[in-house]
Amino acid sequence: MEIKDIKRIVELMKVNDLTEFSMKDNDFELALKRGSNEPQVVYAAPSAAPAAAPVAAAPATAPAAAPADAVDEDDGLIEIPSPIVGTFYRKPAPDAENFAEVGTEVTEDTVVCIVEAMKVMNEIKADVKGIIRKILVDEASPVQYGQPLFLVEPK
Amino acid sequence: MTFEVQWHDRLGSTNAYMKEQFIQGLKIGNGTVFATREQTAGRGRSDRKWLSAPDTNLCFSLFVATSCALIDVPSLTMAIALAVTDTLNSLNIPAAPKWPNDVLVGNKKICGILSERVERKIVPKAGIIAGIGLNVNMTSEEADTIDRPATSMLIESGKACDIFQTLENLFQPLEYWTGEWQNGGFPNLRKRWTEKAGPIGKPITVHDGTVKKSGTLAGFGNHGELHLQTATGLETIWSGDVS
Repeated sequence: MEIKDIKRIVELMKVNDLTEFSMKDNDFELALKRGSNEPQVVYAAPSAAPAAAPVAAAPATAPAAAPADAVDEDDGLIEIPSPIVGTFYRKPAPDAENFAEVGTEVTEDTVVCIVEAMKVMNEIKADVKGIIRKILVDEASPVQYGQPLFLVEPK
Repeated sequence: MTFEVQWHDRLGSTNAYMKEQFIQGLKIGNGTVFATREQTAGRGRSDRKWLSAPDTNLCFSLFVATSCALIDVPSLTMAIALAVTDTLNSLNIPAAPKWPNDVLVGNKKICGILSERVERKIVPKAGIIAGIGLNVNMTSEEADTIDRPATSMLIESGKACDIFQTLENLFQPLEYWTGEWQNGGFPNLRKRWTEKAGPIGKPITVHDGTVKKSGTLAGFGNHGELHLQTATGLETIWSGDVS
């Protein structure tokens, strides 16, 4: 499990107002608790990992807290995730121009796309300052909660 | 909710105007209503034009102050659809809400609602602008010029209605249903919505782009999302047109 996966779980806990979450997957255990403010990772470590399965073991040190934006650790790009389940649109109307292209400079308040859910057109802001490097979803495709939509090189 | 109404003779779109005023920091609070006697650039989904000749139909936007999550915005639209439905039912017009943002009489649209969440830095910092287009005095001839089946209060009741009075008539049910929504979200609407938009088990088809899914109505989730029972299992529907 990667940090971005833990972040998605934390976000789902917020949305669904859950205060505790725990899971076990073979040798990996994760327990999260939310207080009145920010969620905390209480415990995230392998439970007595079998000697023959070191590759699948979770990180030895638990992440202290979920980052504000999930960072792709391979190339330093920051994901812009979908805050809601719905349909992804890159432009405000069929005959309009796209909100953003690869190479577009964005600030936190730049609208980069629309995610439509139940006929509500939600304008999604970049929430990060940088340059769009990858667009991960096709026009009019369904997207899930937390699904990365764009990768941004931070500035 | 105290309704403060601002009537305009002519506006491009009441939603766009209210959003502009809100972001610019003008005094807009819970219950502010911008209504227009003529809307020249009313928007529908995918920016389909909402047709409205002067003093024919009721076009207005309502501001509801809320910092709710994005996922809860659509169910406010549903609360407003219930308010419109109740108002029309009280006039013996057999209207019913259609998931997620229309009100129909039979298979003909009489009202459409488009909501949008807005934010700014001064109080109220966040809210939803809900644009409501209700066909009031549109004639059958005018309805025939629309590319989808449409009707109006005039067509259904045989009586012309005053658009100002029609707006006033909506206030009480709007206050009730938006209050229910603010107090408990869609779960507070579910019973009435299911009564009017159901019944559970009726055959439905969902069209979403090129994808078509058929099954039966299984119910509605906690945010108003539609549950479709198909031959292969239960599906949760967040987008699409239901027929």
